[in-house]
Amino acid sequence: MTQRLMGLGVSAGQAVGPVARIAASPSLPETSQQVTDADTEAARAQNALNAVADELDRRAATATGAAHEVLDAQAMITRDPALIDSVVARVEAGRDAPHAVAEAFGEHRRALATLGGYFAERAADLDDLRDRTIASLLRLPMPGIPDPGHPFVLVGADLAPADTATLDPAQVVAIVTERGGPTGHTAILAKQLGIPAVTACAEASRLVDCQRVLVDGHSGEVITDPDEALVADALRRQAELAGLRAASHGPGQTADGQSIPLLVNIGGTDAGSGPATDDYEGVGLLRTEFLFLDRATAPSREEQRDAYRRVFGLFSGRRVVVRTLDVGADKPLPYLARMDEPNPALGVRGHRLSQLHPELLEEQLSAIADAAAHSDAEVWVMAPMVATAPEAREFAAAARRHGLGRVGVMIEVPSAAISARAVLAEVDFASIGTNDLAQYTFAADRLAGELAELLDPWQPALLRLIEEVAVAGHELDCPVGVCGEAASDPLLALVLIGLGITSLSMAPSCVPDVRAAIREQTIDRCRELASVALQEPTPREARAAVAEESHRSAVTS
Amino acid sequence: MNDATALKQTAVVGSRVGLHARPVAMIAKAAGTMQAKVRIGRDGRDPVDARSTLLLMTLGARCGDEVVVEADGEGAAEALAAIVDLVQRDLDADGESR
Repeated sequence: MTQRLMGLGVSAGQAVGPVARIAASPSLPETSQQVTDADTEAARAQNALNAVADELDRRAATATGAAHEVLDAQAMITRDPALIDSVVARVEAGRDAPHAVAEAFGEHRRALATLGGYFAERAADLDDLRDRTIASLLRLPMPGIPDPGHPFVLVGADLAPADTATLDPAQVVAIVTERGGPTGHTAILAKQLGIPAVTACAEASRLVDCQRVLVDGHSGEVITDPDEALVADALRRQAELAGLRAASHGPGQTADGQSIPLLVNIGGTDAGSGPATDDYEGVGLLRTEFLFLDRATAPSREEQRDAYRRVFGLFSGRRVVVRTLDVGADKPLPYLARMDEPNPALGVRGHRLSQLHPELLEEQLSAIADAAAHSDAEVWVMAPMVATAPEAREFAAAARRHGLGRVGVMIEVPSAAISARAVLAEVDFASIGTNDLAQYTFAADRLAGELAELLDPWQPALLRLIEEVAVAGHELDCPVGVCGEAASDPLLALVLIGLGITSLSMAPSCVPDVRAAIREQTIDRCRELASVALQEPTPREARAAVAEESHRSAVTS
Repeated sequence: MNDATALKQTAVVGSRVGLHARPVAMIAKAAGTMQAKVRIGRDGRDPVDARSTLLLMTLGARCGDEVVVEADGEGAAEALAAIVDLVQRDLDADGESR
């Protein structure tokens, strides 16, 4: 019988396959064996820990990127001196190796779990390492990814990072977990590998080996024993998307030819060597913090000018939107007076810092203007954390004094969105930073994993604020872009365009999917999708409703 | 551990994500290669072994928090400087956009 289970779609795409569940954890004998020789027993425990660490190292050596980092961190924990000390102490107190290992991991697990949030997610990592070590000691099958010999849908309570790190996308067609959040390892790595994934699907505990399921990593749906029509439809859509993605190149535009520039966010030490020849229309967010962090003194005007010139040189003929320095108490600079702020996110940061240190902004604007004058790039400049129209006016005047022609502001404080008409009247363009705008609108710390749903860019209240700004932009003929996470979600990109957003800036790797998605829809359809999204009460329902509606209207060539 | 002879220095956590994940791994890895014994403490609690990612994480230090780094033994001064530098840097600088 077909059943529809709901979870959290964390890695887009659809796939069908038979379920294979992750092997169960080894169970520990109820009582500890008598230990006659503590030294031998301690050595036995250490050997098992080493064997697990060696295996992780071996897998780390063949992995790259995030997978490598995760495996490496896991191996380090297995060799952690504090962990080994607590194992040895327990063996010396008379416990056998498996119990000593279980209790030592348990001790550290509790310490992490009580810290909550990110640390509690790491606590699950320890369970996996404990299970591997105990399986090794008791000569039980190693828990982990099954290998049924054919492609399968991987199902488990939660995936250990060590498992997700080396998943083979040719074998694992989709992932479904009972637990896990939007920021966990499963989500991050599944996205990196391009495997559709659904997490936080509690009912997945009922799925059994070999049962056929259809997984929609976008809507978060898992459909058991789907009928052939449903499967055919899902596979056709998936193939179409892959085809469109492969064929997509050139500037961003809707099906009816409305231009939507697709730009990228860059910054950090790599900013000078970015893939400038790639297929996008410029830089929508050049973060400049990289020039100011990690050093004892502020960079000189000349040093800044040379750095900007290098970046502009890579984007000859294309747009580069430079964001002036965005630091605050959470990113302290040793050469500025340290402010002890109880709540740095609400303190003197971004543009507000130029009240205390006007020379910083003056030097930076001067360096940007100088570099722009010697380059063919179309240089725009914008200020972060602007809250009021007078702040926007002040920044615009300062930038124009230096001869910068296109001046804008980031919209990331709700007051700026609410007063969008007044703020936008002062500038030539605006760029909405959806991550901070969500944080401040929902009073939800961006670093708090428990609040992920409030920070979901599909939140109707956030979309309404974006609409507010976009409408003001149209009235004033002032382009309004989006440069937060929201812009990289192909489906949400359609909604943003429908709300009136005129450009999208995202991580370079996200450009092809967004380009393919917007080529399928006309501007009028985008508007309809936006009104569908605005009518839903929750982010999940908004996403699901727009997904359904967009499939109906896709213009397929 | 002889606190009387250990070199100490206060450092402000520079990593945006605080002392966990990548920053902790980098600090523990560096401390593991040093002859000197390096410990990190916070809020007057007992300092923990800087070679242990598990103990460093339990400090719960967030970006901008002050921690005390201490080192003793061979090469203590160099070890102290190196670990203080790592604590103060943003070791997760290529994080997501704002």
